Amino acid sequence: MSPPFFSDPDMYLELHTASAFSFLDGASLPATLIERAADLGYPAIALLDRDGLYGAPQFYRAAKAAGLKAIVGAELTIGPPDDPRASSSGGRAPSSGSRTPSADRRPPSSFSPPSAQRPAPALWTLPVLVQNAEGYRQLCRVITRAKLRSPKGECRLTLADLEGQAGGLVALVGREALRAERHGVGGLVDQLVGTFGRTNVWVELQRHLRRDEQGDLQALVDLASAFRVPVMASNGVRFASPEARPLYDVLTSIRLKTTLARAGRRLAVNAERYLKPPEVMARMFSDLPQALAGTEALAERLEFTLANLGYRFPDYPVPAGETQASFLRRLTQVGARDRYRPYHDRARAQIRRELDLIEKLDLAGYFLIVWDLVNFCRQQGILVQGRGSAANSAVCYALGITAVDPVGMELLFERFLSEERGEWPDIDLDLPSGDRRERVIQYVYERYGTLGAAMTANVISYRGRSAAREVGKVLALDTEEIDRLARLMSQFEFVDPEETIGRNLRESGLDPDDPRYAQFARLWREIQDLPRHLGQHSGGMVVCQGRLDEVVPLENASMPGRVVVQWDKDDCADLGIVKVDLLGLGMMAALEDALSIINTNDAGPKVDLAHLPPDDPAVYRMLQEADTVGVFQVESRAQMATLPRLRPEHFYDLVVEVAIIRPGPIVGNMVHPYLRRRRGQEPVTYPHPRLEPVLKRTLGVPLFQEQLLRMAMVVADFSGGEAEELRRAMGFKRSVRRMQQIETKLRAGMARNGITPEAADQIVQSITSFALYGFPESHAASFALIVYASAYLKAHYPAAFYTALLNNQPMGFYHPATLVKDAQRRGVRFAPVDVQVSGWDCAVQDDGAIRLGLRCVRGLREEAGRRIEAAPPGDVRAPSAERRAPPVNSPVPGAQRPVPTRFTSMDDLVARARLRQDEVRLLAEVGALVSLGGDRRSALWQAERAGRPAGPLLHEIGDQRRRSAVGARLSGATSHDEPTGAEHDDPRAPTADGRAPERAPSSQAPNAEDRAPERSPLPPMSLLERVKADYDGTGLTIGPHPMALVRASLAPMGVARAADLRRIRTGRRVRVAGAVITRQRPGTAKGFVFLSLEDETGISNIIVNPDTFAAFKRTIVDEPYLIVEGVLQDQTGAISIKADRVDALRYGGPEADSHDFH
Amino acid sequence: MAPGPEAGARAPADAPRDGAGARAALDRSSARAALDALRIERAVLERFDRWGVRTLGDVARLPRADVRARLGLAGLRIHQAACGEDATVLVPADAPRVFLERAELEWPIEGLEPLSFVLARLCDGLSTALERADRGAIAVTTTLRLVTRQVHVRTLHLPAPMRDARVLRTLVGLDLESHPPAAGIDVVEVEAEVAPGRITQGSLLEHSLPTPEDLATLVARLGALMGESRVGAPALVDTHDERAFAMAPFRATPPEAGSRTPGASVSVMPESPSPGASCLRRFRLPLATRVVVDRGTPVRVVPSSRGVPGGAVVACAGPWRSSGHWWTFDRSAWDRDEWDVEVSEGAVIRLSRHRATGQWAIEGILD
Repeated sequence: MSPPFFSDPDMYLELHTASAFSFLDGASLPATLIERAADLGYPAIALLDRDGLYGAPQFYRAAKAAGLKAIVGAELTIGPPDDPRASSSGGRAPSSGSRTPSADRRPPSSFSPPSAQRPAPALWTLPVLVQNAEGYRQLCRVITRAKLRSPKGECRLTLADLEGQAGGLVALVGREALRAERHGVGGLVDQLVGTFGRTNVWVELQRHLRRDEQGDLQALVDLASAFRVPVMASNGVRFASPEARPLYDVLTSIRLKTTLARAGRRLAVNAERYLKPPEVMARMFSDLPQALAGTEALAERLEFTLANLGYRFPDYPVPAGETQASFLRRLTQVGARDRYRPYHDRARAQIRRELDLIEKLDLAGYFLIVWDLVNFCRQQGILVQGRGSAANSAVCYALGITAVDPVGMELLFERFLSEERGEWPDIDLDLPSGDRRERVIQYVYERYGTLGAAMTANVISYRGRSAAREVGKVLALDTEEIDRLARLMSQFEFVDPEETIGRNLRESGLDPDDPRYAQFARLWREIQDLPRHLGQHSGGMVVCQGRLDEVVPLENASMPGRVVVQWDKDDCADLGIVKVDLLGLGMMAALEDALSIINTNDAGPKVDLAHLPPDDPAVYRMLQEADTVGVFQVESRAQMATLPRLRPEHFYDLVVEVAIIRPGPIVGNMVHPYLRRRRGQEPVTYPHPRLEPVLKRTLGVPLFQEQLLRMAMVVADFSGGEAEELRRAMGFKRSVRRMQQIETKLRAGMARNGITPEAADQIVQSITSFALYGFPESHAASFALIVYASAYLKAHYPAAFYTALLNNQPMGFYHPATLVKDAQRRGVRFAPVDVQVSGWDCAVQDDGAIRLGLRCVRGLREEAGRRIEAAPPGDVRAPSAERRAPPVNSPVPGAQRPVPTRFTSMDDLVARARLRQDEVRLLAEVGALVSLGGDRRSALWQAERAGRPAGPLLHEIGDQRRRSAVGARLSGATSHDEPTGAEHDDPRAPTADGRAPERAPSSQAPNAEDRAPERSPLPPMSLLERVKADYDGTGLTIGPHPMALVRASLAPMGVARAADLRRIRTGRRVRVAGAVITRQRPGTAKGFVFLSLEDETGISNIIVNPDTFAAFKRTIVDEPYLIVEGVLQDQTGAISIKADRVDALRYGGPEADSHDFH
Repeated sequence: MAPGPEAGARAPADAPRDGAGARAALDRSSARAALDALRIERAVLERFDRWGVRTLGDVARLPRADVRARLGLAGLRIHQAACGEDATVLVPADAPRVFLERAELEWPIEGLEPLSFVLARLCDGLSTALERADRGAIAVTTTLRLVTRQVHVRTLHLPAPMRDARVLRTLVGLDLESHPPAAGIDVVEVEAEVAPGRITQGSLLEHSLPTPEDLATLVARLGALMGESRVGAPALVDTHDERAFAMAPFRATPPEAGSRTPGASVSVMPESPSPGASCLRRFRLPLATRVVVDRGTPVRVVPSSRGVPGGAVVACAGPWRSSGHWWTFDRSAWDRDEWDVEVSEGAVIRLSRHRATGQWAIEGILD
């Protein structure tokens, strides 16, 4: 029996606390509540969040660290029995005429509390506390049932739902129950007693110094006496300390979607709902000592904590005669023989060691389940690859879960699994994003049941901009002020130390002396990191043997068919719930698509990702030249700037390249030493001779997490598990104390080994640099495989590669416009979107050119596009002028032969594809209707009518008119009221892509009468107009780059092209111009801003120092085209311009999209 | 004569209807005029832009029937305007009638009493004019030009259209009494903003309410007596602050069924308070007081004003704590504790203590 909590008469504990995980109905995080409770000397504390256990894991974790007992509970929203959202489970409404089992014990007098005249509220909350494991399971099930039948974000129960489901739960009857009083509060208590049992219903007394509470309190005391149930005291806590009350009011206003000024009496009446010192509670309840005693007595009964959830990982069904371990051994050995050819001793030994540990830790089932998933993917033809620390495991490699050989690469197994840690290993699977990943997720649901599997949650917290908007709104600031403040609060990732709120306000044109802004800033700071709502993690799934809804409440996600648990992945991991990450990777989808295109179209040998030629010189040449637009991971500006300096020659160089441009190595100042050592400009040294074997591969510079682990093992004699503990402590931002403890241990170990304090400092510095952002070598190796594969396809199968990239947008670092221009520079030819030929997706034609798909047309519905694609081809016709004269820079020689047509006219297209008028207009503007005859404007002119169906009579007249018009045209006559075609069609006018005019002679149409479009009086588009129409309608152009159109006027200004920069000496002043395709202000770059400008010859990289940025901030942030003047820097092939002047280039060009990393 | 809506186009009026002919006739500068001149909807302008049609001439060149087929009647009107045609029928419009009476005085008037004679004359004239036009005044603006060359303007909004000369004169006079001019008056103008006359049907079964004229006169008289801001009906305020008080303009509305209280916006006490309930007579401005406290509880009240009960505390309930409006920067934020105490002088009073300053006040007396 546990000792009584209140050995001290002044002792108190709080049994009714809500945290910020009550989502806008609590203002303190669980850890803050625990910290305050520990300061007040509470022995235990209960968390009762609204309709869930969202904050319970964090609460439990913090309480455990502080030595407190974390009691579990929840506030359940109870609706009226006839609420359709609450009674869909068939809950029985208590009948006023029937007697409940305890009706004979009802107090004889009609019980009428003081507030009886108030109208009964539709909803009220019933606080329940978990007494034992059974109670916990019941609570999870009850919440799950209510959540799954309610729309996202809502939860309704009726008391009938709780009947038979309340074992092990304790209900608290307080003022909320008085508010309910549907059948009189006596009847309500009677029903609760019937449901929970007399010993499990307590009357809860709270005192918040409200004038209206005294009567209710007396009524509750009378109620307890009448029903012979005990009383207990609590404070209904909503925040840790009174100072948080303004924030609570702000959250209340956000929840009610109103302003503070309009919220009125819905705000808190005072700041009393905080964690009060025991002596204060004792004073407040001095007239009701039995209530405080009741709190103690109840707390002693509540034995359950999250220490034992009762979670069990599912068993994998194995063949008869096999155990899970033996089956895993057999599968691994079979796989290893296939993977390792020959199956050498080192691999054998490693696999044996791993299997022994897996068996010892009883994890065989877990590996089998992941293997099953991978197997499913293989059977379905879905590309899959394990990433993360799983790549350290030879068993994972043998089972085909990962593609990196950890034995060959000498990866550290302890990073993946260790005996000391006593936790589940973490296996992440990369899958193609989109439908294919969804198929795998649905497979998991099918296999383990809706209540046996769920996605992990992602808690969306208040952050810079969203917090600014919400706080601004409740303070009733003007919309314009809110916009400015929101922009101000997170302009870029980097935060200048001198960027005070005052300076920022001044820069944004707001008065820094206005006290409203100081108040805004204070509230904005306080609301940071508070949970806002629950989202869905991108791919984390948890599965359970039996019912997952008895372990954690489940609820609907926004996405149909998805169920999420109420905890995020860290919470799940902390509580020992196994998670498998099924992550969608756009590049995986692109690789899969590219392979499909290559293996379908190419007559040559089939390409298999698993058997790509290693160390292909073309691939490494391309990488060394940083020609990596579209290549996985190494296409960013920073990666491209590093590639020429690193000059990768082998696969391991790619592993380094992937890992080196990360905040960890950058913050730790490891990038430049590594690059200098690689080029032989600096000697290779080690912080300590004992570290040479660990750091040799990375030239004495630690770059990977595994090295961090090994360093600790070598210099401080840590075991593998302790080293992993060190890594987690360093990366565990929520516990500074834990980090300090382990650093002390590390330093002590180093001192024991005779490492000098200076060297120890250097080592600690290396390790702490990885605190949050370190990259595991195994993960880098997994990614490097995809880097190599994508680079290989780009180098050898560019058409298929770019086609796949375009079909999987959005993905990667660049917009499609940049991808197309990059492809064109590599000689890839493109054909425009054409309703007669294009499918929904982009495709590689027989002639090798990429035919843009209808998916490129922004605003065209997919179903409409699919109908166009599916339209059966009609007759065969000669190619239109567009095909006869293909783009200058993208000749499509194969397009000369006659092609089958899908549609005979625009009316035919509209009718069969069921297009809306705006879609026809869109197609016309981007030139997709040119093949129906005429130019873009002609098509547009026709499209404007196409969506307006005429009746049969007018339709006939229209046909006659068209026939006569065609006849007149064919005979050379001019219509009376239409301008001549010669006036509008300048045969010399180039097209957007440099091709001949887009008008198709109607005489070439086999059925001219049907096809002849109405003559258009509109002028044909100019080249600039066509380029703009391309960008507006598709976000890209296969014609000339917009900068090519102004090149003539830029040349006299001395503006160089991107391709010219290579020929200019370093240190020379240059001027470049281009469309801004990326803007970055990384947190690790001390306020420097990086721009990428694209012109018709390539991309130029611009570096803007903080002063220049401050001087030209608005131009840099707002203008789509820039002229930049500065000094050219060539760092071993990585060319950039250090800007000292930035001007806008305004010429009416298209508004190209840019990726801005704010 | 009202101009046609398309007159802004300034295109030649003789432009022929069809596009081919229009080209010949259009004046060059007009043809090049931007489409903005037509005040076209933004969406239509964007469509023209997509068509490459950017000037009036470009529009005029398009076949009218085709433009109509694509843009409907709006397109037709734009095309006509671009061709300089304006098919709108001209409708003669009466100038709005002004109900204004003016008197230029031979010598300046000092004081309001002599002004009342002038006002009476002007209001008589105004009333006659209103009656003839079957109109009632809903607002009366009195403009006084003063000897100092300043102009004193008062506008009086009336609760219902009215034209009774005596009422108008009284209301204007009372308003000027509350807001007298600063100097002698040279010129007096009274202008009425009008609405159609009011027709009312009395009921045999219901109490008749006072006429708007009577009510307006009464409220105006009270306003002149008490100050305008101190006349009205109490309004409910959504706040926890028990001191909060607000007034709304008094409006007489017909009594609702079942209610015997005229003036629905007036909050009323329940007909019979529940047994034991007490009423608080609140001091509009709390009275500062001195309170002796023992272990956080008041034990003696020493009022600073005469006639206010005080003395030793016999019984005490509290504290009740409330706070709010912390986000405001005026003086509406509050944070105080309240006690209801029975004092030895035989009264029950409500005390409050400002938590930040510790100052005590008597909020009111409980009956």
